[in-house]
Amino acid sequence: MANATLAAQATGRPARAGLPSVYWLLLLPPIILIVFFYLVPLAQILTISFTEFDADAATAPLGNYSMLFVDEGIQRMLLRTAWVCVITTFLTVVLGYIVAYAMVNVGPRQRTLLMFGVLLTFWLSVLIRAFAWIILLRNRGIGYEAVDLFYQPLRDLGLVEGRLRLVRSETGVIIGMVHFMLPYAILPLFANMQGIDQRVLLAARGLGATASGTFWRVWVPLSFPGLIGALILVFVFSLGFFVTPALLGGGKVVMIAEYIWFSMEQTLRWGLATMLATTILVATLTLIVIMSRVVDLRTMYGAK
Amino acid sequence: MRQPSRNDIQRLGEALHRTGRIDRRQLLAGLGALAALPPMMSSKAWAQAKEIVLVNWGGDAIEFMDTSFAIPYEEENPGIDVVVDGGGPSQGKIRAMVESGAVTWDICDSGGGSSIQLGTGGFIREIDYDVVDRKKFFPGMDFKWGATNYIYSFVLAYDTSEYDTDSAPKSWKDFFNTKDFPGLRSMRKDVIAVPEVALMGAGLAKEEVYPITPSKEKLAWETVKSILDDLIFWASGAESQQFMRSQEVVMGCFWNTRVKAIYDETDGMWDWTWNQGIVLPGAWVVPKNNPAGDAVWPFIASTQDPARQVKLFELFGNAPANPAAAPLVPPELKKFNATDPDNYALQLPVDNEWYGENIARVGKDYLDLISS
Repeated sequence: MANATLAAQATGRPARAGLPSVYWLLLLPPIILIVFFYLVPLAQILTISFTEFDADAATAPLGNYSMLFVDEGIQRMLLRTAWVCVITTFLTVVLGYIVAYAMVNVGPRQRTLLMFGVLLTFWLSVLIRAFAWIILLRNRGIGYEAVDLFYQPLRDLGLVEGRLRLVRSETGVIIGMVHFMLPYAILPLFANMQGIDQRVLLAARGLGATASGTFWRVWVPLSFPGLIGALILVFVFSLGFFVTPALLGGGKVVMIAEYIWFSMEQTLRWGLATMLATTILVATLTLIVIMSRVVDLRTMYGAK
Repeated sequence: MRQPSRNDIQRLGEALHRTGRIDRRQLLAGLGALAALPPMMSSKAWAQAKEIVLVNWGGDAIEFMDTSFAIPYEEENPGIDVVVDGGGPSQGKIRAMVESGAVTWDICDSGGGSSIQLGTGGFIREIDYDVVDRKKFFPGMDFKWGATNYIYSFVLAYDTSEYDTDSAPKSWKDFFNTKDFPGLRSMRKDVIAVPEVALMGAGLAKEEVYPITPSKEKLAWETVKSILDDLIFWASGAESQQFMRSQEVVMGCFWNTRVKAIYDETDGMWDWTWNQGIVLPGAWVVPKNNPAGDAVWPFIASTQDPARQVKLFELFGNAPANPAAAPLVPPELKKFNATDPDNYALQLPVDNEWYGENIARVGKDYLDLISS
């Protein structure tokens, strides 16, 4: 408490005796909650990944973690997870960039409408969205028939063959995930772009830059922190997807989250499950550390 | 959970209050008095004698098992309360509950293969066959750690708007023949029954399926792989019903109970054949340190009663596990009974021992295969 008072004096704010420690007291319940219901179970998961050995992993030098290097099934699953996440991230950020750019440059009324559109899907449950896509895009669904109209000429020309598979496939998973992730790309990009000083663009034009030159050489570099932030945010979120791949993938797009669930619940291979959980946690934390190096997290969320 | 009597009283009080039989003040006084009771009433000894918690997979199964098994038992044994809970007793949950030391489940609706896996892991109790009667099971369905409670099958089902009785697929060979039977088809995302189905698809007779050797295993995976582009996989029974209902697939390997539900609901839009069906036992398992202790055995024995099993079958479609029950099934329902002698003869009972030993390995191999 004495330190807090000193600190308050040092920063020149009026020292209100006792208040800072009250704040700490108020923080106590959430801290206890996080420690007991999050950190302790997490530590247990870490422990299991090192102590309960899967099949013949006990004799391997890295224990369960050696499976990352020798098990082809797990490697394929990890590659697929990464692949789906990369595609999703790319499409989401490209689409999100366009929407965010439009939101910054349209009038206030259109901006409100756009924002409403973005937030509306943001509030819908992931389960409902997945089912909505299934109803639209399954065989004989309205959306399927509409898309198939454009597909038919290609089929007639012999450029493609077979059925279109819009859901119950990797395509379906990517459609569902991009749709879910869009707000997570649009909102940080929008916050970042709003902070860009429009006068800089005018100056560029005034100095003789073309419209596209201004966009590519001034606007895009200025939106870079938002772009990197959106890329990493979307990628990190995509890594943990469970419901969307499970429903829209027709059982064939098994990503890491579902694989962990399966090993935990169905086959009781907890050593394998906790090893994968730890792996994805480390990957996520690494990405967040990279993100915090490249961009100021506060600018990303518009807090600054 | 161990204090249903307390909950019952509370519910009763609230109901009385709602209907205006007691006023708010009386209700509060009553609830206050109730709060003073637990130290005395919630002791383990009390729970052991009075309450058995039976856990199944939820939905209609809660009401149906209550009607078929719980209520008749409560009537015969006044003072014992059998609570049916739909918590979904997956192996992972049972293991987590037993390891945490806070076991609230007494009897879980699991399966033959799962009972072997859970039992080998040391998470469930051995069945007391001094109380439960081995003679009331089909051969091989009296498991060390599991008592078969009902029977269901994986059957070949098809959309009758695509096929009539003559053109319908009749065996797993037809199922894997995408040339003569084009269209999307579906199998379960879980490995159980898949090797058997695939081996028969590759042309083996049902008598040749077992024992599953490494080379047969390989053949099974290759067979599945050969039609992978035309397969989608269902994860839950409800999802399999969606596939049938929306006609996303033309045929599938589904649980007969779910096909029956669609058959009833749509007036025969989907039909099935018992030929080469794979028969699976559901099984009661008892977690280690279950709160009701040995009180579970007489109850499990009571569920072997043919009349109660037929009741569950009539409500739910799960076939009786006691061979003596078949004659009690009304003739018009014979068609739906997986353990009817005529239907049973066409099918292959699953090798639970093999799954008990191999499921962790083949389960992962299968998942790797379908997601490759």
